[in-house]
Amino acid sequence: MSGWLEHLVFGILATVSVLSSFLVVTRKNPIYSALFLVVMFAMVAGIFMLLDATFLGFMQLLVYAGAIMVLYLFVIMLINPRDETLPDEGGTSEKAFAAGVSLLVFALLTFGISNSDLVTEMTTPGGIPALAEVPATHGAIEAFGYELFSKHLLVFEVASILILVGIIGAVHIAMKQRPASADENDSNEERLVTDV
Amino acid sequence: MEPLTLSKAEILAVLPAGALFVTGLIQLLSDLGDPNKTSRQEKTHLAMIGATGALVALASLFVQGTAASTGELYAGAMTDDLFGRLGAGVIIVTSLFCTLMAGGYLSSSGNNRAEFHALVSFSAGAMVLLCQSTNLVSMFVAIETLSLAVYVLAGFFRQQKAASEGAFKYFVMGAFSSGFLLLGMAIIYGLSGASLSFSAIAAAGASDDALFAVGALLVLIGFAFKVGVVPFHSWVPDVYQGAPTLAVGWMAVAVKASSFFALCRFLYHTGGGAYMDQILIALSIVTMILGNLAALNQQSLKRMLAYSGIAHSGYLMIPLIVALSGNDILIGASLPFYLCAYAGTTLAAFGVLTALSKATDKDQLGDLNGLAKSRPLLALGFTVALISLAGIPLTAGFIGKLMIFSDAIGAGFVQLAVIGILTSLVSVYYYLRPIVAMWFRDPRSSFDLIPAPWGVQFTVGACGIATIVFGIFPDWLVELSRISVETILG
Repeated sequence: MSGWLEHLVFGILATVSVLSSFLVVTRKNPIYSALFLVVMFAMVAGIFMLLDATFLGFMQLLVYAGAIMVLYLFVIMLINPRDETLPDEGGTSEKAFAAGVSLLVFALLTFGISNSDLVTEMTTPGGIPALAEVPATHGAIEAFGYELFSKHLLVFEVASILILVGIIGAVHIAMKQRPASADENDSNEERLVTDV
Repeated sequence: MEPLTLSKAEILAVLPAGALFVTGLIQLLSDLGDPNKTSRQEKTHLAMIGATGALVALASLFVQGTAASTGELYAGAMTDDLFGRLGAGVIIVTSLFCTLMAGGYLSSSGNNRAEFHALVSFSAGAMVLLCQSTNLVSMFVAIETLSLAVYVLAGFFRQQKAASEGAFKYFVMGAFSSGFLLLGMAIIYGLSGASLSFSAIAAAGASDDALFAVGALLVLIGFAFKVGVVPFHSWVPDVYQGAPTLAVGWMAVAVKASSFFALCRFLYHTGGGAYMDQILIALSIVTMILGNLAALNQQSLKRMLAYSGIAHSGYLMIPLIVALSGNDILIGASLPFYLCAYAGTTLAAFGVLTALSKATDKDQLGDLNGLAKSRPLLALGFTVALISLAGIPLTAGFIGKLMIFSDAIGAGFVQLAVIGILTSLVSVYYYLRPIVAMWFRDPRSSFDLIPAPWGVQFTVGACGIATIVFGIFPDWLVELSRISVETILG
């Protein structure tokens, strides 16, 4: 892609993603928030693809914009919020606090980026010699998989424990309470055994 | 592409965490079918066998190698050095004690499920890995695994409203802080030329950059939420009060210890950027003052220990400041010692609270009245724990504070030492109140006898004795801490 077109596409993607994420936090109805979040995820996927990370971009679309957002929407629709039943979102002081924290983070990042010598170096053409030529396999599934299963093998395995813990937690919290009779048995059993 | 190979050192180094993960899986399998089939002893025994296995695996590392670091394993994801082994030891022993206390505590509230033990095992495995992790990805995945398990543990008694509320607060705040952590890591990763491991980040030479300071600050904020440093502490008292006492004991000791071990390793390698020392000094001063002042007037023992835990996070940041000041990297050695002392004393304190809250959910100061008459051993253990937390001589807590404050003075941070000593004096007041209640007040009724299973008695006794022993003969542990800090940088 030629230089100006890339900049144009990035500009559009970035603007739309910032605008839609702003709309996510300002909408009162959670359904609208979720839908704007889908737009934001799609834009970020576009930015990934622009960076030649094709696989990551598609994963972003499939997993976030697809699977996770469907889950969000299911949950929201199960709760079925209406305008009159929506809880009050806190007073002006809470909103001002939230806006203040966001602005603080924004100011911090702006300060960091504008004062960073390394960022200046990266933005000058040819500033980063290592990235001058992107290998053909960059961002492909093969390279991604090789990286994942060789360099990050340990982390990959621990991530499976992470997901398992998530499942256990969800099952434990959502599980029905045990019937009263089972509890009685339990306490009978306890009287027989000694303290551990 | 070369085939994947694992060295012997790599397999050995992952064994302690692996033993804990496998124990968690077996726990889950043991509960298949009828949950009443496995009695509570079997669940407890399984967890103890697993934790003992992890201890054996940890000990085999010492047989295998010397104190020197093995360098980076798994392409820089983790290492096996004395510092990591010390952290792993603290966590595995803590999980053993928590398991010992768990059986009676859980079944008395009708919640004796294998999930509790499984979640403790999984989070212990993740904490062990966190202590050993040497790159951003493994650090983040370990933190997330342990956090997720601890959120569920905090809300384990879901029939209690306060527990659910506390767990939800913890979950939302934790997810929020993970966002900061991840953003900071992404910035550091990008600035240091796509390097993940701490040593590569240090070698990339980006740490003088302004944006690197912002990234390191965001990582620090992520950790500050986890350990409850003052502007980020609002969840701590509510979660401590609502969550099951045993889970609070586990959180207070293991989450704090592993997070500080990881933060220490991260800061030692990367240096933390331009403004890190000033930020740490400010956070430490605010945390010491607010934590101790807020603890003064608490009637709930759990809330009091929550604020005291916040205050101790403030003290624990001083060794990091001293180490970052660059005077002499070795004088950050008080951190591992202080964490060991804190682990022992806090476990003893929460052991007593576990016994106290076993029957009902009592944790008010007045519930301790006359404990010395009915349960002298528990009262003695709690007294030792409290005077150690207050930093009174002949306890490990005193030696820890002495090391921290003398290091601070040695490195020229006299103001930190003065504030630390003054706030410690303030803390004596609220640590003495339960002691007075236990020894000098009469119980309100003769039916107030607190049940004390032998698991709790053993834990309180062992931790109390360890606190005294390390308070009188600290040399061995001090030396171990010093050598372990030396091994961080290889």
